[in-house]
Amino acid sequence: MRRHASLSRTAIAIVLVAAALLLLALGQQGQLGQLQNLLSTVLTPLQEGLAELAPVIPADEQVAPQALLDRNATLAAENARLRSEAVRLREAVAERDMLAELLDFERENYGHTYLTAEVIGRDPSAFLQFLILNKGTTSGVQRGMPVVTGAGLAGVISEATPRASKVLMVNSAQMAVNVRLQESRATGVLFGQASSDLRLRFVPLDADLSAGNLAVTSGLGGTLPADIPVGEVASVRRRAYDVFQEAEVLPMVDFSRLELVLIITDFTPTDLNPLLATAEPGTP
Amino acid sequence: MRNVLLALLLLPLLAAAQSTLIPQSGWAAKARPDLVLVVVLAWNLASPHAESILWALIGGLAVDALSGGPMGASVLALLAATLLANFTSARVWQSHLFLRIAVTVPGSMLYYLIYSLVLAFSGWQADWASVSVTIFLPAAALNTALMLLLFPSARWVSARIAPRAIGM
Repeated sequence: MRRHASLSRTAIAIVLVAAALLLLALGQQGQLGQLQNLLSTVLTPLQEGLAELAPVIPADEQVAPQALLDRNATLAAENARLRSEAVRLREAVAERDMLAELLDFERENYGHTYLTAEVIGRDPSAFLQFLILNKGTTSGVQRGMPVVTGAGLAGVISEATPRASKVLMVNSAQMAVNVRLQESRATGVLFGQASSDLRLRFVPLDADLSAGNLAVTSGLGGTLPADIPVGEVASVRRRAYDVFQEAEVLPMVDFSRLELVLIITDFTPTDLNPLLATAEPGTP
Repeated sequence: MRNVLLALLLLPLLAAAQSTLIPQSGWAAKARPDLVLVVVLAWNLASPHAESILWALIGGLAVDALSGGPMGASVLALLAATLLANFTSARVWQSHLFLRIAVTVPGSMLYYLIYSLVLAFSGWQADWASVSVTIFLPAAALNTALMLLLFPSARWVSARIAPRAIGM
């Protein structure tokens, strides 16, 4: 009987390993869109529900069991006060919505069309920096669209399902952003790091680079619009024998507190591959 | 069958919680436990049936669907950790409670190792040495602490819905 159970366990294990490898292979070829859409349809409502719940859970709060009764009484009194305050806040919310609408209008007329999206989740894996937004292809979101906040660039849409999308954050190790330093006009490339800070590389040695300099997107490469703030130089590493200088850069966006973001929906990344292909040696 | 049904109900919810509630906590910036990993390991330690291995597939798919990483990476990593827990619990340490809980440490490390390898082979770049020290080790410690809390519950539930047959 035990031998039978062991065989059955081994058979299931072999089948599942094969299934996992098949998933990886199909995923690499981009053939799992339907499966991802299906899973997203199931999981997005769960995430939205839990994301609504998240703000009412106090972070790192420890309550001694004996204090719970006292706290309950305090909360009951506070509840009565909050009920009256809620009426006033509803008015404030209505006013805020109108102001937000005006702000959206102003931004739209400034140069881009924005879509507001709520952050409903983050990557479950601790070392991948992705956000999950509550807007997807049905709202017009597409892969490659830049995602910003009032402070600056947050990331780029890496994947979109009908109701949700994933954002590869600027501080991810997979991310490289072409930037220009506003003061010196020198260009460089910002890379994400595991520490969540950014590293600026490929800045010419003779460029004037110092702490406090603002790095904005340069638009080079055609993957992002120009002039979006990305970070501020914190420290510079310059060695005489290097070809380039490097800098540690603090991101403009506080990634740990992102709740609402704007997706730039009217920007289409430029595909430079056809141009690069024609530049191959021997091509007329 | 009830074993798999429980996984279908529980694991997507846990994956969503791992993506929404866990990152809200203040200590999440330093280290995060992997809820899905711990629960799948706890279930396989408590109920080392053959069908408990399916928890790795269900949990892995739920995590991969919410992750920006390659689809199948969590399935494969979770499967490796699950097989370790299932096989050891079924054969060697049936009576040693703390030894079974201790499987969380190698189980977590195996999970992170496989996950990292899949990412590396898929072309992802990272300072893996730094990631190991700053993310994997603290997460493995947190996972073990969480296992101490969850394992008794998993054992209680498994005794009611998936009691073990006595081997001859």
